[in-house]
Amino acid sequence: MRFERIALHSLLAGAMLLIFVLPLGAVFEQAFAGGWPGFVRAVTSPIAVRAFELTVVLAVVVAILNTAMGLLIAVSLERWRAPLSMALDAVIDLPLAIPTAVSGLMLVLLYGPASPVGRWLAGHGVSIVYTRLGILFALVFVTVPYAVRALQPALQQLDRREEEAAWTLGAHAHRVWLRVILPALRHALGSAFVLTLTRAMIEFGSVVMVSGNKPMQTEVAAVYIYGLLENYDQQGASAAAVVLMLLCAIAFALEGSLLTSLARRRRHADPLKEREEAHV
Amino acid sequence: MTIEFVGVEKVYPGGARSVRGVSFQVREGEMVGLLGPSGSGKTTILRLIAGLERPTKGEIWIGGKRVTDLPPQKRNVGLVFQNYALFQHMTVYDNVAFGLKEKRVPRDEIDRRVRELLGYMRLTEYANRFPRELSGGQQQRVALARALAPRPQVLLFDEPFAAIDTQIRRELRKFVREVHDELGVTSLFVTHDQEEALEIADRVLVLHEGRVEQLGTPEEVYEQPETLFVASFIGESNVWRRPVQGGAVEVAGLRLPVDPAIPNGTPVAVVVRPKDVQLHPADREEGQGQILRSAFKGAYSACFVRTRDHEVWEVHVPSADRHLLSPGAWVRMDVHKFFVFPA
Ligand SMILES: Nc1ncnc2c1ncn2[C@@H]1O[C@H](COP(=O)(O)OP(=O)(O)OP(=O)(O)O)[C@@H](O)[C@H]1O
Ligand SMILES: [Mg+2]
Repeated sequence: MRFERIALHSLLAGAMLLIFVLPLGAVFEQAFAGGWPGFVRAVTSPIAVRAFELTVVLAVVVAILNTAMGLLIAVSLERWRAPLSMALDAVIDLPLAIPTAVSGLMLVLLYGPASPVGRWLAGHGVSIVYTRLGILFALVFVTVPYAVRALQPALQQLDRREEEAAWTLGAHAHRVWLRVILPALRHALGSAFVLTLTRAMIEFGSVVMVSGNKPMQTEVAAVYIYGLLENYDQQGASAAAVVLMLLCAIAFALEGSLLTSLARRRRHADPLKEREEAHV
Repeated sequence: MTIEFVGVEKVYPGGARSVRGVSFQVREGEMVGLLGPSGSGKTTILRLIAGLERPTKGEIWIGGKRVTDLPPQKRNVGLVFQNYALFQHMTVYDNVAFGLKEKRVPRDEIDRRVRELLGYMRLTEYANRFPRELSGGQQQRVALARALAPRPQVLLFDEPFAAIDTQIRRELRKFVREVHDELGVTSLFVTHDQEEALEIADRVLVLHEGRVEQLGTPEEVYEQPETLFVASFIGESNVWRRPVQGGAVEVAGLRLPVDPAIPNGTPVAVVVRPKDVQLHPADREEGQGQILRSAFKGAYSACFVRTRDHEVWEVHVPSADRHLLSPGAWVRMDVHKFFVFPA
């Protein structure tokens, strides 16, 4: 019995080592092969900084858009029971099921200069493929299921009677959303935001297809890393990878601390005390 | 506020007809208890009054105003849910303040009113707790305070004490009755507990399969039940089905006279309350039944008697006479009062 447990634990530890620790270690070792100055030089080159900027800005925009859109889709699936909601429910996982490179290809085919849609848009001064707008489209498409699936169970678990109680207390629909439903969904909204944010920051396959990858213009961090590797700059690629991982870690840490601080603030907001102090 | 139902029907989208042609009137300042088996439409009636459901047919009037199509926000009806439905992400204070904020009451006044209610409900020290950090009885009081805050004219309770243990439950229902009297509101409450309904309600509305069986004072529904259902549902009862024979019904060797107009052979149901039977010691020849067992209930003992035709009667005997009740003893039965209904 004890032997089996030891065997199992060492097996697990070995697997962890092989899958997580060693590869990560290799990346860190490469990233700091030139010491701290080498690392800093690699990640502060103008092209690198621009790529990180673009990645973060786009990811934040995508996360905002998709948290809102995810909420809308989840609500229409769970609450409105629209006639097409069954079909929508089936389709919503599509971006997860098809390779992201194929998602990118679809966008290129639909909006590219060769397609009628693309030509029509170009005629009106809008180009999507090989622009930042195209990256945005790709990221929104690829990450929206994460937002929907993070919000759906939370919506299902809401107690409808809380909303009914709010109605009988005089709250109209929009007030009920503002004061009862959204606050109850805040954890799920937070996860939807962070999930889409990190997923958008690390996305490669679809972006590499639609972005055109012009350095300083449409090159995001993941594609930049790939480009360095292709040019045999393993140290630069590793350094950029470390920064990208750091950004994701920060996003998760922010979510965690935001949620706990939200909870704590409610706890310490002491309406009776505050007002007593005000009276003194 | 008076409440009036006129021929109200409610058919749920699934097809369940949960309220069928219900009409009744609740008077100003009255407290009415809704009694009925599970699925008889009690919750549906409260939801119709609160405006959470629209009737399929019929009209609802509150305070002389037709509210059938009025949304819940405009009805000024306070509802206390069975599971309390407190806002889980708000403190007790914010829960109670919710309705006042929605009515755009000035801040100071909200504060004054919330403190007053929290003090009244003995909740002041819990103002900054969240609902999940409270006991069932405390949550119940928060739900009541929240419903009372905007000064509703009608208060509805859906099994408010179901999840609370007996001792606190008794206190709470006295408390609810006090609140009702003090505020002069009109209240309806649903309960599964007859004792509760008979104790605190001015009148009781007995429901069965979506219909009103009787609306009357606790004495009336108990002493003068209008239907067989009411007679057998309210309080304990012995129900015997028999055909009429020569203007009487024979039960346990007794001939109980019925309306002579009822023709021979008509099946009727005879209802006898356990407290309306008197037992006398008898010998084997003249005895009508034999004591099976008895259960001590405090002031009285519930005694089960098996008659010669193997029917078992429940009879309540003052506990002082308990010594008569040794199992196997033969007894004679006197029936003081009984009800006859078409069966
Ligand atoms: N939302 C609904 N959709 C369909 N049918 C419903 C709905 N709510 C209640 N019903 C049906 O209506 C009938 C009355 O239900 P209601 O909840 O009013 O009963 P009740 O007297 O409150 O029962 P209980 O004592 O079990 O709470 C039941 O047959 C129930 O199945
Ligand atoms: Mg019910």
